[in-house]
Amino acid sequence: MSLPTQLFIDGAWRNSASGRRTTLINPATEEPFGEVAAADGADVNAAVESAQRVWESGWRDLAPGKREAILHAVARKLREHIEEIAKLETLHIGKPISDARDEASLGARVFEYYAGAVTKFCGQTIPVGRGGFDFTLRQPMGVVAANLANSPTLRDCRPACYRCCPVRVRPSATRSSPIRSFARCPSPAPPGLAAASWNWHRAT
Amino acid sequence: MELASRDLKRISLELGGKSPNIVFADADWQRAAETSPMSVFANTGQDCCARSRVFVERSVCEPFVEKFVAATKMLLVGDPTKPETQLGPLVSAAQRGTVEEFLADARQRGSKFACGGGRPRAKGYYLEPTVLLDVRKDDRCWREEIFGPVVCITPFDDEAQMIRDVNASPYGLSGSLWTNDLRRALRVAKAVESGVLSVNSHSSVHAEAPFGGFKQSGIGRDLGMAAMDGYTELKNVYVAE
Repeated sequence: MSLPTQLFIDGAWRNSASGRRTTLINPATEEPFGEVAAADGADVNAAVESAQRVWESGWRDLAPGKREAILHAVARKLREHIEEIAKLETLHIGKPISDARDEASLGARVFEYYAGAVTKFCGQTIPVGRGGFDFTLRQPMGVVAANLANSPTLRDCRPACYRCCPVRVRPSATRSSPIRSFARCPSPAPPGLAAASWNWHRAT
Repeated sequence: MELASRDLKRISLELGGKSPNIVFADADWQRAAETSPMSVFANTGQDCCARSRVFVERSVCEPFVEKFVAATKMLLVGDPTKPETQLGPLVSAAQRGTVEEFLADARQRGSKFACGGGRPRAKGYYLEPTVLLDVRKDDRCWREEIFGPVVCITPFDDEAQMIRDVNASPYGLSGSLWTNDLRRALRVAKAVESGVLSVNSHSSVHAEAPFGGFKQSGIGRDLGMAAMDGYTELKNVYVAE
């Protein structure tokens, strides 16, 4: 198990613009176990700009069936890496390993749920008074930021992915690596699409 | 929120809680007592859904507390990398410091420590799971989210008064309700101000169902189809005939 220590922005690993790093402490031993890049506003802007580019260049208009396939592939990757993600979670926040495994598999389960939701979440047709044809659309909001201070790993990202919203994730100061670790999984999506639409960094 | 308001950024918040665990005498209160410790102490109490205020109908309160405390003392606190461990450390020295301030306040206010209150290990940010009795309704430990392994247990006599006490909180995230009386379960489930409630169970997070809070516990819903609202705009298109 190795510790991912850089920021994942625009589909690639990099150091923070400022070069600053912060030390991670294992709460069960009080010992430092690594140093990771500390992001600031410049890194956030880079991540948001990257997400916006990806959104406009195709993620937004990806066919529902393709989105569904990608989300299922993400869930499969997550399941393959549950042990690694759980161990990093335990190391960072002291969560007992059996709970950390449950949480990581809930993570995969939620991706599966939203993969299935892609072709079931729909609008309405409305018989408006003046006649004609009236219908509603659910359109993606665009780039979404998720602050995961207290949320189970990655839970908040999934509805966003479902709707093609690129995601900018800010893990809390104490639990960045499990999320980075997930970003490190080989991307199941078409290169340059999903990979670039996930921007992971750590703000302080 | 203030920052987001300047250009009307949409936000969805899942925040804190001071969730109730309500146990009626007609329920399988023994099972409730055995399972309730982990409904507040899981992740060492660092859980937004932690059932940190337990309301027990007075006729069974004493034996309930006895069983609850016995089950708490059985919890395995220790090395989180071991599969049998149930409670690890708190996340940081700062968080343990915050929880210990709450415990100091409880001592000063004369609450009774049925168990816990100390540091079980010299190394690591550990804290024993702590059961408080005789906590007053205006004490910090009763009113505020502690985000640590601390629970308050109180008896109740009257259902209507108990519900007023449950709802006299700025929070409204989660909760559990133990009863075998169907009408009572429906009545109380409706009356409790919370986004999530479980009856004869402590399970409150399901991938397929909405999760979120009333009042100061948040805005919007995560999970289930309801989460989609937070990520989409609703557009209406009209086509003339």
